[in-house]
Amino acid sequence: MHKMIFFVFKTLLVTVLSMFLVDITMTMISVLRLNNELEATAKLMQQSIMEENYLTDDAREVYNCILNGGTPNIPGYAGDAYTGITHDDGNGNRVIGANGLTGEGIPTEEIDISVKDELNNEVTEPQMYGEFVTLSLDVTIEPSVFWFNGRFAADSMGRGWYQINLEKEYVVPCLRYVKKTD
Amino acid sequence: MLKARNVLITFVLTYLSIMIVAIFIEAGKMENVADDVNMSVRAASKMALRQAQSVDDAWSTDNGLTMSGANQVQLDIKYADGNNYVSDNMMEYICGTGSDGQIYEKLFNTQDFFDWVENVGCIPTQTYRNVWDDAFNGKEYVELPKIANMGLNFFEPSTYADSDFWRALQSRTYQFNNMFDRQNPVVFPNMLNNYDFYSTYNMTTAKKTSKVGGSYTGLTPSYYVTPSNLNLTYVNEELVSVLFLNNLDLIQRAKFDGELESYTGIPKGSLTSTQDAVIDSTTVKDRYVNNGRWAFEKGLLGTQKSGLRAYINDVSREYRANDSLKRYSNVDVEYKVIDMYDSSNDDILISLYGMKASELKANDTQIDTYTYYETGNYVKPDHRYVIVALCTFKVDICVPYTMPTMRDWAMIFNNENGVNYVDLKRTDNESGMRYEYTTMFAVQ
Repeated sequence: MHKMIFFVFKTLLVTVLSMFLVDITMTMISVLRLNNELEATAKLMQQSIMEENYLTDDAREVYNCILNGGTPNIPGYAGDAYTGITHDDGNGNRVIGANGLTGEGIPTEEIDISVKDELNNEVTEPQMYGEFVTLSLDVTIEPSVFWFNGRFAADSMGRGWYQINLEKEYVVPCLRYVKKTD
Repeated sequence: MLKARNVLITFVLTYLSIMIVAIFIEAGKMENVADDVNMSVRAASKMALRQAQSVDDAWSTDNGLTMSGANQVQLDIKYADGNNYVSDNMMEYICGTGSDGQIYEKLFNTQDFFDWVENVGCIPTQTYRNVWDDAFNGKEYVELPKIANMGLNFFEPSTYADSDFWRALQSRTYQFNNMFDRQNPVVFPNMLNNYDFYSTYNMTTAKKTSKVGGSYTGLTPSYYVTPSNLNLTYVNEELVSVLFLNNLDLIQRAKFDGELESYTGIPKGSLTSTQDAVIDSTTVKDRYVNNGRWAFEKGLLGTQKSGLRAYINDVSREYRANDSLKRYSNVDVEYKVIDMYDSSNDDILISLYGMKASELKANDTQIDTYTYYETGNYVKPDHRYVIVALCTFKVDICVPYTMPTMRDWAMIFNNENGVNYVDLKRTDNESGMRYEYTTMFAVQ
């Protein structure tokens, strides 16, 4: 009899630990994927900034759609809507990817794009050649995690939401010559 | 009881496991660095080509005026000077002079430019013979090499009879006919003084006066006519080389995890990714530029025979080793003249303009002068020639190993003592990697 009890508890323990590990793994995969996609997009954005000395309105519109989904509001644009790294799940919730356990995406906020000069002012026009601007991509995600508070009670285990803020900053030089009027 | 043999085997297996893991991690990091190098070199080279063209009509250091208006124009360059980055007038810095005329001379009174004129500068432009020949009253058009318009005062005259343009054309007929005759090319004399360059062409002046855009109160707007103004692709290798390395320096600086305003190199042979070593006071300044992950050899600032400044490094030294003109360049340019309307050039055209020959012709709005004046109708010509420059940018890069085990092995097996960066061997037995990027370029 005592073997049966031991077996049941051992199975429960292994199951809980497995669930915990799988959940953490899926969350990490999602975050890594998000990170890779942000890096790839950021490389293109850096190139764009280097060539124009700032992020043009059109480029900002397109990159915003690449990151957050939607159709670029640019005159003459006849392409399809971008799915976006973050997207609406249809229930009014903004999510990233899909969680392996529940099929739901990881809750998130929109990815913010900002380009600032050395004085921390938002850059809205071309800077001079040789100036440095800082491109920031800011995203906050809330993946769910299993938690265990150490007490053996009804509310000792459950799912919580852990907030992760990914703020990526890139310093980019302006390489286009802009004619300066003295 | 552990046997000595088992302990030894365990150690060996553990070390091998670490090595295998290290190799995979190193390979992953190298891939990221490769992406970084690729993007940096592409951006630096693309912008250098644009910069070299953009300064053509705007290098004036004092009272330079553009065709678009009476605005004083100055293009700045940011470059590393000692421990800091400073901003200076670009053409004055690169050419070592503030004189517009001398700048012009240094850029175009060169053997490189004359070679270019002889080989590809003969793309024709159409004009009327009664412009060329005062005695001719009929309708006939002649083809003039576009490059012949360099130095011409062709916006100034109100009547052809009084025009410098007309006079210049008449007096230059013989020169042009011979200069663009490949069988009997004109031998260019050695030109030492300012504006001798123009007298060789029988041009009146280097600066052009413009009446385009209305009147300018109290000012005489003037500008230089250059190959770029004439829609002819000419890449000054020495100029582009300086701009390219300077751009790459700025990109590296932006990625450096330290003070942006400070300038520090890294000592040859002891590359490291740690910031402390990078800002070591014993570092070799102006030679290598490091961003904490990889470095490139910028070279030492020097002056070439032509008077242009150059970053003299291993690439340029090797590349120009047999050049009697002593030119230092990280850029190699080859030219080819292609017909934009020939579909056999579609691959090149798509690369340059994103369009095929048929699409280019359909979208081409340039008026064929002859057809336009003869018939009054706009009919597209059958051929249109453009000069395409095949530009190869070369730079030596060094990538340090990040994993300790990889560094150890590199230190043990590298011929150079103490070198721990990726040690692919070049032909000259120098360590480091030579990165080459080739792109096509054409002004249009």
